[in-house]
Amino acid sequence: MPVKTAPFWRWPSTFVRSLPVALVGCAMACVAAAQDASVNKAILAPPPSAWDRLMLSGRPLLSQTVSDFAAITTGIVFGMGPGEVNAHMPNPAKGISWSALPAAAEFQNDVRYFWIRFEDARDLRVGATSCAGAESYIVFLFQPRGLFRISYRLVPDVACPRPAGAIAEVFGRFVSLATNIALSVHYRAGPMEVVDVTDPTAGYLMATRWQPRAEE
Amino acid sequence: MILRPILALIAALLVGRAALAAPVGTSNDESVPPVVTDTTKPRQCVIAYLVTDVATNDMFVSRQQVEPPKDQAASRGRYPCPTDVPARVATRALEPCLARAGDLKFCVFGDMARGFENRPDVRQTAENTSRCASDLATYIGIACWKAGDRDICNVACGDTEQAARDLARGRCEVKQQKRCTITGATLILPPQ
Repeated sequence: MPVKTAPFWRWPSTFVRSLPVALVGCAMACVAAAQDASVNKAILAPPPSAWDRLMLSGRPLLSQTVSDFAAITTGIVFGMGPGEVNAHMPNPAKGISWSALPAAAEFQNDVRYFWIRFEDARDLRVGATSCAGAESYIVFLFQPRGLFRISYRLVPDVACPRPAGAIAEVFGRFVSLATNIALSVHYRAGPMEVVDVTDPTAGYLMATRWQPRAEE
Repeated sequence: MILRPILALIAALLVGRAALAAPVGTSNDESVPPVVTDTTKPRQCVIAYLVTDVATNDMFVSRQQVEPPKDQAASRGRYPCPTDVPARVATRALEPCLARAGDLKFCVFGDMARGFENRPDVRQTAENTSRCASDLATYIGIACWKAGDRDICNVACGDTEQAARDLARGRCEVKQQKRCTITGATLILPPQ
């Protein structure tokens, strides 16, 4: 036998009156809970400094070497030629040599480069696990005397509209190195997140920042 | 039945050898223990600053270790920190950010004044409230709210990670009059 439910205007009046209040209260609680949801902020840790007891002069506390850099970059170090760097890639390309490389337009000097996709970079992702955008890539920049910059360029897309998490992971790894070993700089270039890791002995080349061209 | 006592004898001999395999000092002086690891050595004072690049929201902990004065005694495993910190230490604390930022003018201390989002300048931040000393706290914490793409933050010191986050959040919400749901904390002393 079917059960007949009374129409809502016949429900007990106190229940009907309290329903909107309950709905509004629930909505407010949901909004408050969403606003209270805490987001973690990463704190990057550069090498500490040490001061004398009078705090007159400070110096780096840690003594780091090029081995500390190589430990992050799967053995790649500044000064390596294009062929040597290519040999350290997860999938080395054929025909990589100084004469075969294209010129990097952002430099006035003879600077050449090759690049690999970030998602194919394996250990060169330096432990980054956050999303990075499918078009993200890593550029290796050379002057005639060898490698002087590794540039991480993360491109947002529909699947990963904010690659800020991945770039923070990459940057955080290189920030742990003293600036006399590798100088890492984080900046935004249009919609892209960029971390340049540069040889501190590269002189005036260090200051050059990359910007995407209009057609890119 | 015959094997059982033989196995017991072998086991007893092995146990005997193991007992003999304790560390043996190479020194003939038996008063010197073979290996000494001082795990209770007091840690030097560290003053940790939070500094940030407001263009990218990168937050850096800038740790400044200070050599203890001669004849200074450690308390609770830590040397005391100086009560007066010279301005040059604060200037030096900004350096990890200055060296790594795309634009130097975006490097500021982590503790910001109300209205910082309208005047994003180092003069709208305070160095003395952006630091924690290792003799008074264990963690330095940060709490922020988002003004557009920019994190607006305040700093606090705490004995636990959660306490540092909560204190920073309380400070941020009182000072900024906003909900500061972006939080972080890290140790004042660097990992050994």
